[in-house]
Amino acid sequence: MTRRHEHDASDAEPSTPQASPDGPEAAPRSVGRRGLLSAAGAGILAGGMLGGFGGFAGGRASAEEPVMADPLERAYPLRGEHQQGITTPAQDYLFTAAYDVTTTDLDEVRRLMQQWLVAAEQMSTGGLVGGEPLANLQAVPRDTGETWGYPTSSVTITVGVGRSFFVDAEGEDRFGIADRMPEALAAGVPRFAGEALQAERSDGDLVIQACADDAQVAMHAIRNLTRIAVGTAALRWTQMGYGRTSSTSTTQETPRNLFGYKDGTNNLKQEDGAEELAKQLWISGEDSGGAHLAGGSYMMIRKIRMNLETWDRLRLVEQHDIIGRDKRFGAPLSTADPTSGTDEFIDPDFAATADGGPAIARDAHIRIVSPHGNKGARMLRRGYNFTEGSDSLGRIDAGLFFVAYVRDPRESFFPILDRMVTTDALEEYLRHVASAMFVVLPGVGAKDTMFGQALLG
Amino acid sequence: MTRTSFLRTVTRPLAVAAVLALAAAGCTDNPSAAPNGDGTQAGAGPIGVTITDDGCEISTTETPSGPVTFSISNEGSVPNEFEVLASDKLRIVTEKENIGPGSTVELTTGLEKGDYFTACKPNMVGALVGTAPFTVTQGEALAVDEDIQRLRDDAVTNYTAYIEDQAGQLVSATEDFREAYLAGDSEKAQDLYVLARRHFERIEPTAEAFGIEEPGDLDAALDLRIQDLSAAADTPVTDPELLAGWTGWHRIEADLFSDDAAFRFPDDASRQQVADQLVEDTYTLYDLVTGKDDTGSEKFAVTLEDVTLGAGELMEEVATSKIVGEEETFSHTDLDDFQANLDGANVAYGNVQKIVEKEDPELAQEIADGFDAVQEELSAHQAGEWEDGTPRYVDYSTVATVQEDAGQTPKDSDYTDAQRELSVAVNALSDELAQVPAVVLS
Repeated sequence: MTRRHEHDASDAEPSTPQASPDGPEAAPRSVGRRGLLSAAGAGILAGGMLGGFGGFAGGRASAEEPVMADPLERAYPLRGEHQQGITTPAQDYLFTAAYDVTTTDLDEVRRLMQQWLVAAEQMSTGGLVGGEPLANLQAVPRDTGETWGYPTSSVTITVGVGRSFFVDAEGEDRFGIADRMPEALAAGVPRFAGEALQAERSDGDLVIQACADDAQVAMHAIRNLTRIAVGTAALRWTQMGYGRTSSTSTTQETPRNLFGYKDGTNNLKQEDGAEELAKQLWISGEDSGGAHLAGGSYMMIRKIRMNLETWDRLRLVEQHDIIGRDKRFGAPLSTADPTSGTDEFIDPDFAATADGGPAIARDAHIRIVSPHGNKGARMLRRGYNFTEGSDSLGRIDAGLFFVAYVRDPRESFFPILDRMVTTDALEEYLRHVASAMFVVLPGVGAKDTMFGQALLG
Repeated sequence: MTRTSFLRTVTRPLAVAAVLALAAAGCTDNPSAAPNGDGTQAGAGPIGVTITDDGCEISTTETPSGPVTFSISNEGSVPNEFEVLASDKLRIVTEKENIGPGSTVELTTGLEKGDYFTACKPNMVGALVGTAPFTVTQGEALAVDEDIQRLRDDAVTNYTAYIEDQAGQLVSATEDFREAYLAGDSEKAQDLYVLARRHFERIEPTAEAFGIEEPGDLDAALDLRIQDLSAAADTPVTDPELLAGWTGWHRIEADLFSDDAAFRFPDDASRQQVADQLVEDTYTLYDLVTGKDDTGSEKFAVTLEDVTLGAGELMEEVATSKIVGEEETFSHTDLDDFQANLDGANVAYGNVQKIVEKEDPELAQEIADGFDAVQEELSAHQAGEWEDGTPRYVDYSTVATVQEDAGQTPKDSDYTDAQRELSVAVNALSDELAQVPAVVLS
């Protein structure tokens, strides 16, 4: 079938996961569907349900897309040096929720973090919240039930806190722990050029990111954790995302964004090794706030509306020039005549010329965000596409829920974002509508009884 | 907003376009020439293609470069498609889709020397059927259609003249504005603000592309919106330091139109300074586009590509910043800008209109209707006339949900029916204008 005839057989990727040997993300139980997508010819076809002949009918499955019998059985351990859901191979769906804490009592916050931990641990092993159902039929069920009997679906739950958790709008210490707030969080997110932020969709005291390979499993996690929080924290905003837009592991194909381009090819990945991740990703004990937050990371969020209608009217040559990559293969424009998907991984040559000018334009997206141009600063991107129906002007309301994890946003995220909003040709087609910064709490230790034991315990 | 087309001008040989221009003529001049029996084609006559459900027979494997016409007969049982593919068998050079069973259609295209493939695709899906190599040899040198070339040259000449004219009018209108503004005649200055900016809005994609040090810096000095300024966390838009770093039309707009005293200039000297700077930068723009000054970051030269893209870019300006009311967040004169963008688009498109009419009359008609439809939506909001008889529009905030004084932007669900109708009309026109480059530039 030729639906994907552009794929070269050499695209095939190893079908064994390259889990890090000692991290909390070690040893997922089975191979992901994504990892197998291009393992052409592998005879692991699912029986009956999807058949193997989708090409002509335009169905999603085809002979090139073998489906694992149980691709959703993966489970990731909740406890470890770092929280799950950061370097975990990016799942297909995301549901993130931010909360305003409604209590003034730190003990209530601690209780919430304890209850959240128990529920998260139960969900991340595929169980119901509260374990098996209560025998008493007069009791309200502890779990809402919509994933009862569902596979774990790689679900991860990641918890963080924002600046407004420590101090209120007047700068007053809310819970007596403002002195533990790291400098970067205290300084806040600068005002970036061209942004059109909506306050009620931005910021927050607490955040939970739930990711899974089944949207309903991610929804279940947020729904139940929100239910637990009632009386202590109230929902501020939520965001559903689909079609992960970045790879956090080399076992994953680089996905396409809604402009149709492979994005984030040079993303920081799990396989970059502990040293690079420690340098770029994790808060260390010496960093500001490190005494209580070492092992955590900054979760930087930008909700970016994409002007799809305007973009779709651009000639291909303009689209190429704006991104700096070829659309079919994802190869940098410094590579003349790309011929296969592997060309995507060729390092862009920013000095290359074509037709008397730079092959990769001065304001091309990949040049602006390249680590070469940003003092080697990298971030771990974990964004998702979003689509929220249409706006009242008759345009598709869609875009990128950009999420990046960094050790210190002042070193990496802010300078890169500033370059992007002021010089990136792509910005013309983007609109930043929401923004948030959280510090993701350190990993949950073997003996911990709450998220953020070191910060709150 | 800094658009980029002037910087990323794509240099492409006109040869293909010339061939295409000739193509139509070619097939009518020589409709009956038949291919030779030896598998090569002698003239520019149609090449026969016979489609069956599992075959795609072509009467020749070689032809000289130039206009080529295929006569395609579908003798199969399902609709089919004929494609000419580039040597990578991936990119489609030309195609004819949905050829019904039992029907014969013609496909004319310009082909340059090179290696191609031909193939069919039953039901327009699935694998290629009957893929066969197809070679185009060097044909006779092609004379560019003189008519088309003249239209192209005229397009560039006329659009260049228009830009120079508008830049000139902008200079004098800006000086008039400064006089009224600094004299404290607010009412007159508010009117002149609209009238002067019209000249800028008509040539906005050009004005944006220029720079003194680097491309776009002149646009930033003249037309930066406060929303485009970055600052430390928690900085309000009324922050005096933020305001102090802001120049150009919109800084003055905030001072002149906003009810919020925080947007006033702190003193007359800073007001005068920004107004003088505005006039000076406008002179620089004029000098750059008229070639009086060639020290800028890019030498000004309008290309056919600029003319061709100009209309579409102006309408995209409308779609992204005027309809949502972001451009004139203090004065709400967005509809006057809108009219100026539309005027400019009309002129830019008008310069290539004859080429489009010649190459694709259907598209030309759609575009003409599209311009009418947008003008009709806009005219619904007219409130009288200016002294020169041109339409004057209502305060946009009275018919639209807009950002007020650079505050929070409206929610996506809050736009009014009037905005929706404008948006739908602009979107339709933009979509049609987006097809122009493929016709004019190829």
